[in-house]
Parts: sequence; C-alpha cells; structure tokens
Amino acid sequence: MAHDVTIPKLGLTMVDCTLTGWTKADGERVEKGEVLFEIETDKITSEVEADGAGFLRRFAEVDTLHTVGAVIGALYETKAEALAAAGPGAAAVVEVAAEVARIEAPVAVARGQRKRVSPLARRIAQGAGIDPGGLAGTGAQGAVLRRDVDAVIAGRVGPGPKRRPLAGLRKTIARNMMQSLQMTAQMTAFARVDMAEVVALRASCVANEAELGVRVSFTDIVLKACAVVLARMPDINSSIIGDEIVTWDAVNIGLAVSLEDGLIVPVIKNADRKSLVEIALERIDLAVRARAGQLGREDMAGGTFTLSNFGSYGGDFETPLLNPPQSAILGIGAITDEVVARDGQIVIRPMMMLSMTFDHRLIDGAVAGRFRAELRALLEKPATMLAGLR
Amino acid sequence: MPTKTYCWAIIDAMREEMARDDKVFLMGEDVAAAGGAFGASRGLLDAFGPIRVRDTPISEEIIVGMGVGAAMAGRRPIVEIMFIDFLGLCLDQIANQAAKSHYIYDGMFKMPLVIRTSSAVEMGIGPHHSQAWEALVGHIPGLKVVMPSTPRDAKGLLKSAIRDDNPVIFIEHIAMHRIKEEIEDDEDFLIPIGKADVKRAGSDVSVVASGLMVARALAAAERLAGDGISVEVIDPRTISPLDFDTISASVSKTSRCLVVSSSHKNFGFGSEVAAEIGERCFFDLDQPVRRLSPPFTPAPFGRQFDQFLNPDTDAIVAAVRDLMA
Repeated sequence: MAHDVTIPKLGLTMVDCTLTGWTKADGERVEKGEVLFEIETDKITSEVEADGAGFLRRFAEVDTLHTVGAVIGALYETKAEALAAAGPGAAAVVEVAAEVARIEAPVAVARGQRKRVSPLARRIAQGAGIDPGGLAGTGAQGAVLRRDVDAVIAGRVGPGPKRRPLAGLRKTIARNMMQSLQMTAQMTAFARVDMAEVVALRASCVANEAELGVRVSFTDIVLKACAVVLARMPDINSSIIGDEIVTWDAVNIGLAVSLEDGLIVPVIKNADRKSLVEIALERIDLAVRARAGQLGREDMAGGTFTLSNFGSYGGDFETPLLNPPQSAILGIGAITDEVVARDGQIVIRPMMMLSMTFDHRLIDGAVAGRFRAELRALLEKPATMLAGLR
Repeated sequence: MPTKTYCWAIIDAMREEMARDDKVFLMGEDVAAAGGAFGASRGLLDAFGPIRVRDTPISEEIIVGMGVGAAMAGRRPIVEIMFIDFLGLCLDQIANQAAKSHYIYDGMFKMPLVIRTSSAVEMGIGPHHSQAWEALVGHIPGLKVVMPSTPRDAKGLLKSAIRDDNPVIFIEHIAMHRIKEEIEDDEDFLIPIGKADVKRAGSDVSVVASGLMVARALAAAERLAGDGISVEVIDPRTISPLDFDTISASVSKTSRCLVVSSSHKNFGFGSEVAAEIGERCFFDLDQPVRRLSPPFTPAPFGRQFDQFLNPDTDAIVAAVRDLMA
C-alpha cells in the first residue's frame, strides 16, 4: 500500500504553493518526521516533514504550483515498488498542468494568425523588454526580423524598462493584496488622537529602560491598547471564513515588518495578556529574525488583527489593506505637534492619526466607530489600561 | 612556395607518404602503367616499382576487399575506385568490413585503408558517373569521409588520411584536377581530418559549401560584396566527422545560413547541417536555414542540362539575396 505525499494546509488562507525542492531522491528510504520537501507559500519558505515512512517516488517537479491536498509523491513499502510507480491519478496531474499553463503560456493563436518572428528577433526583443508581436515586420510574409527589433531599440531614449519575473515573496504579496481587495468589502475610517499622555508614558518607560530591560516604543503602547480593546470587542476579533463567522478566542496581533524586497507580518500572540515589556521584547526579536530571514511559519500564523506603523516614514494617514481573513487593520502615522482647540483655547498638542480599515461585510459602521472611540480613549488616557490589570 | 595542381598535389601526397613509410602501397584500375585513369598516379610506378604500385582487374569488390585484408595484415593500402558511383559494387567491403573491423575485433586489428575515389558531377557523363555520394558514406559509422576543394587541402588531407588508422573515403573531383594553388614544401605538411576551413570571412550570411561548390560560393561572395553583403564561406573539407563547432560559431555570428551541395537535398549533407544548426543555433537564427542542391533525379548524359542541375554562382547569389531580404 502506498502512502500519499500531499501538500499540507499550513495556514487558514493557503490555497496553493510552489514546490521548491525535494530533500529525498526517488527510491530513497524516508522515515516519518524527516524533512521531505520544501514549499514556498504565504510569505515564507517552509520545510515539510514526512507524515509516514517508506520508499519515495516523486511525482511532482520542482518549481511547479500545487493546490492544498495535491498528491505530489508517494511512499512505498519496497524500493522496487517505488521506482516502478507510474504517477498519481491523471486528474491531479491535469489540474496542476492547467494551473501552470494558465500562468506561463502565451495565449494560443490560430496558426494562420500567428505573428512570424525569427528566433533571434524574439530573443533580442525579450532582452530589451519589447513585445515582438507588436512590431511591423519587414521580412517575408511580415516576419519580424532582427533589424525590425534593432530599429525600435535604436529609436528608444534610454535603456528601456527592466523586466524580471514576478516570483517568490513579491508574487505572494501581489496575490494576497488582490485577494484582499477582491474578497472583502473594505471601509477605512480615520481618527485624530492626542498622544500627550502616551508620549509621557513612553518617556517614563525610556527613562527606566535599564530597569525594564528593554526600550519600549510607541508601537508597543499602541499595540497593547489595540489588544485591550480587541479583547473587549470580540466582534472585531472575528473572521468570515467560507460560510461561517469565526470569533477567535485569542488576540493575536500581526506587526508589519518591511524587508528589503517586500513585507512580512510576524504575529505577537495573546497580546492582551502580555505586558508592555513582554510585547517590546517579542517585537524586537521578531523584527530581527524577520530581517535575517529566520522566521518560521508558526511566527506568522494565527494573526487576528494587524498593526502597521508608517509614521516612521513621515506618513500621516493611509488606507491600509486588510490581511485576510482578518477583519481589521490599524495604520498609525507620525506623532506631530499640531495646533488644536481645547476648551476654547488654541493649544499645541502632539497628535497622531489612526487609519483603520474594516471588513464592512462583518463590521458595521457603528461597531467600527465604537472600536475607534475606545482605542482613542485608551491612548488619550493610557493610565486607564492599569484599571484592567489583574 | 611551389604552385601545384590538385592532381599533382594528390600525387605528391602519395609519393611522400610512400617514401616515408614502406607499408604504404597503391592499387587500382590503371594506377600503375597508365599513371592513373585521370593521371593522378603518374611516376609512382617508376619511383616505387610494381610491388607497391599495382594494377588490378576491373573488380571493385576485390580491390577494396584486398585493401581490407592488407590493412588488417599490417599494410597501409591506398586503393583507387575510379568513380564514386562504383562504390555500389564494393559497399559490403566498405560498410560491413572496413567500417566495422575496429568495433568487431575490439581494436585488435587496425584499418589504415584509404579509398581514393572521384566524383564527376557536371561532366556530362551520364547517370552512372555523375553522382555525389558523400552523404551516402557519411551515414556509416566507422568511416571517415574527406572531400577537399583545393590542391593544398587535398595534399594535407590525403597525407593525414594515409597516416590515419581508420578507413577513410577520400573524394576528389575530376573537374578540379587542373586548378592550382601554392602549397608548403614540407613533407610533414598535414591538414587535420574533421576540421572545417573558413575560406572567406564575412558577417552577414554563412554559406556552407563542399567540394565543387566551394569555388562557386566564393565567386558568389565576391559578387555580393559589391552590394555590401558580407558572406562567410565555410568549407567543411571533412564530411564525416563534420566540424559543427566551426559551422555553428559562424551561424551564431551571422544569424543566416545557406548550405550548397552537389549531393541531393533528400536525407543529404544540407539536411544534416540544417538540422544541427536548428539544434545548436535556433535562438541565433534570423531566417530559416536554406539549402541548394541538384534536383532529386538521376543526372542526364551531356551538358545541355547543366543549368538545371547543380547550383551555380547565380543561384547562390539569388539565395543569399533572399536571405538578406
């Protein structure tokens, strides 16, 4: 009896992944728990361990796309059986092939209409980022020859656009962002917060950095405030998954960390039950490991809310995109001294803008407004967070 | 450097090699007393005597068969088959004996046999004396097939063929016997088998031409140069093994290729070159590879049909212009 090797579902929103490598050869003995293959999926590359033992037969090629549950190989009782095995059911192969073909293959054109392009002209055109099919060919029967491509290149100012394949982390981000916009009803609301007391709280924490063992940041304080409100408002800490509304029993806040080429969102779990110091230590650890490329999928799984601090880039407000299946995300801008009216007086206060996007399918405007109001109240009087301490 | 005709280059090569190595000997129809049907063994009987320069009966199978036996027994025979068309009579000795002896006897016997033969394409001497069979023998593993187009190449390649331990089919062309060229006066002047020669360097089109077609390709290149078209002419010199490295390097540079041959297109030399270029140079090609060959029909008697048979300079010029269009 063969034991199927399948693509596991590693996250709630995972639908497919790229098989990036096998660590075992055809006919090789595999023990349960040994790393068997690697996949690239929701923002990480992940090693997958064998969930059975036997002699391996690989059905899937490296760098092919597979849906969750797809059979990519099998484990057999004997080496001979493994080496003799033909492959998975035809349906699975067709599905994968169709998926790959849809992405890679150019649109098929009836033979009579096919643009005639010499292999050399096509190669030079692709290198220069030119679509040779769009050129007027001067060769026999309108064939595009090298001279036609050279003429376009010669007439161009500058070197022309650079092209590279959409792949890896960027491809994953692109897909997630499109899915976010296409699958949810996003509503963004803004609120101005007086950060004077948070500034004072942080100054106090920084003054006592040696004693606390960590330098607490504004982000830590805002994140903690979000966690407190989310714990009080389970309607926000919920997701629409398929035909169900799932209310999460933990408050896990993802923190957007920008990398050189992209952005990932490691998660601080149970943030409502952690102290500011614990949150600060964890945030620093996650950010360091994220930039070193050392995060595992457990570090990024299970987020129920996301916090994105774009204030460090000088931004005031933006319209953040949801990180599905989460229903809310908060973007925070820079804290800047502004002229505001207080008790009929013009005063200068350190102000910050909250930019909050909600999934309007699940969260009505009134609920969103209440969340915003509670969060603002906590940030304007952070001492009240103490009142909830146990 | 002395100037020699193609015919005397052949004679010089044999004389030098026979003087150098007394295992080398020549046999064939009329090679001794008559000095060769086409005069390509003049003086050798006087120089080396009737043991090493031998006339044979008119029996091609026996001529090659004796050569095979002598080669296995340690001699280095040169046998002459008057016309390449007659290889049909001795193909068993060539393809099934000479070509396979290294393989069958695991190298216990060497086969240093040279079969000199002549093509008479375009001489008007009818369907049995006008064929170009280099592709036919080029198809047989174990044989080397050499087809020089100049006196210097002929001398250097024949000397290499005689010194080679493999059976070599050495194809001359009777019409080229009178052309002249300067040749190094050096008894160890050799041209390696399996190495093509760029007869004219160019940058726009590669013309691969063999045998009789080389001179026409060069004439066409000269004419096209007047129009600013730069033609590179490559003479493979050896049909098997064919020097694809030189050919593909040229085609990768020019992006256009024409193969000119006096053998038929069907399953022929041009097909082999075009197919290999397709594999090696596909992404460098700006035009399809073109072939020029005689029509797929026997050659008639008389020369009144020449213009319909082998590619001439006009046809090569036209084909190159087409590739540049």
